Amino acid sequence: MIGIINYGVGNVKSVFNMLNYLNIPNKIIDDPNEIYSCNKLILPGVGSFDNGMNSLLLNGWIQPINSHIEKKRPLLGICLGMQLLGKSSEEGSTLGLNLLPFKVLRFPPNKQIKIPHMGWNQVELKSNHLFFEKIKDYEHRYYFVHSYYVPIIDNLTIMKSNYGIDFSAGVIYQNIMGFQFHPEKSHKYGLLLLKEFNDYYDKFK
Amino acid sequence: MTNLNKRIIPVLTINNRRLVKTTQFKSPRYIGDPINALKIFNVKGPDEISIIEINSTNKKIDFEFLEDLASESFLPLSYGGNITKLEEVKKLISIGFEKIILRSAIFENPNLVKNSVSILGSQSVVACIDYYVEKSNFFIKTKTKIFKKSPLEAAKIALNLGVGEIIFHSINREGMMNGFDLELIKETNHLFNVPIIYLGGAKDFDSFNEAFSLGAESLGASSTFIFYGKLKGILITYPYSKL
Repeated sequence: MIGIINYGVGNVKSVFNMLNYLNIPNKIIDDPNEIYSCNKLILPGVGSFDNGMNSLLLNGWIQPINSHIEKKRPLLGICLGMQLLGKSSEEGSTLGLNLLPFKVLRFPPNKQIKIPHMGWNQVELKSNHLFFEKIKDYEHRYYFVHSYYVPIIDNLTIMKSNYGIDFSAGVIYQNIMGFQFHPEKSHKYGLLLLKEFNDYYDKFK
Repeated sequence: MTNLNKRIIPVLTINNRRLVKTTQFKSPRYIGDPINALKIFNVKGPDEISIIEINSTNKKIDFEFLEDLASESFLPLSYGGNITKLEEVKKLISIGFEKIILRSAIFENPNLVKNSVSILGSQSVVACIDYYVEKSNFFIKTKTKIFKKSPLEAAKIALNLGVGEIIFHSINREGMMNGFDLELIKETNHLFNVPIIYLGGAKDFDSFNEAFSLGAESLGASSTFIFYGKLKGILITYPYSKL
């Protein structure tokens, strides 16, 4: 059962719709205690870093999320949800979940590009990573909407995209994953990827 | 047009759960069932889809219907129409819309715009600037008011409130299929550091190409994806999919 964390401003329903389409058991969880009954979690997110983090803090999500991670259960952060996995962000002053060692940065000013980065973009895979074993030969393009980015980090970045500069489109560290783009809004590409998120971790059972 | 950064966005206008198409904001023609239309668009694979409620007598947002609508699409969606409260903004995001489109609030309820930006981040808040030209003067139309302002002046107001995207919507060209406002594209495409969508006048492949070649990055369109042939039969198409 995948639990989709509903902490206020995430587009939980889109994730829910896509998982249903894939016939993957899932539920939107409004109460942090429901995390304990889920073997996988998705942390979606649309919004500002501080607002997202404060919503998690004020509504008691942090401790159950940490306990989920300690049990080596998978967690996928999407968009802001991925950024919240890090230490902090230039977007705000609140500290992140600190599950992954990155800092979220603002796209540097550049006359050639507009911010937010909005629209479809090509994604390059670290194709020897086991996560892509079944899907590395497909095309990978996804829908992005973001003004801040996670830089490329060795041993974390497994998907790379470029918008003026290279940035992390996807990160993974053991049971913790993040996608900067919206798989739930990336049509057939997103369907493939969310299915893989579900299947991948089952291999290790 | 293979450039992934260039977006072509169908804009669907809804009037009380009916898909309609207006011309210069008047004479709405019934097109069909919006849910069915969205199903078809979802298969065709546009870059994004914008939904605009044009019924202004009904002041409530039809969340139940919008939630059904959003569940038909695995593509990015935005919604505009009758948004007056922050609670509504949050609810729209939670039921499956990535972006909200504000129009009247830009001029009449700036706090709603600012608060939406602070909660959602600027990337999810779009300003729609409906403008027309009359006797060489520019006017901006909101739900109930008309301001004597240029689209550029209106855009600056919206950007000061923190919006992350702007739609310039030409009322003169709406539904006319007579080409985009190329003057405005030339004048404005390089001025802002947020994405701009030009809407109104889309006709065919050449009209998109012409607008892109003048520097537009994103274009919205409606009639050209809904009507077919000289007699304007109804046929939903989207020949620019990147899927």
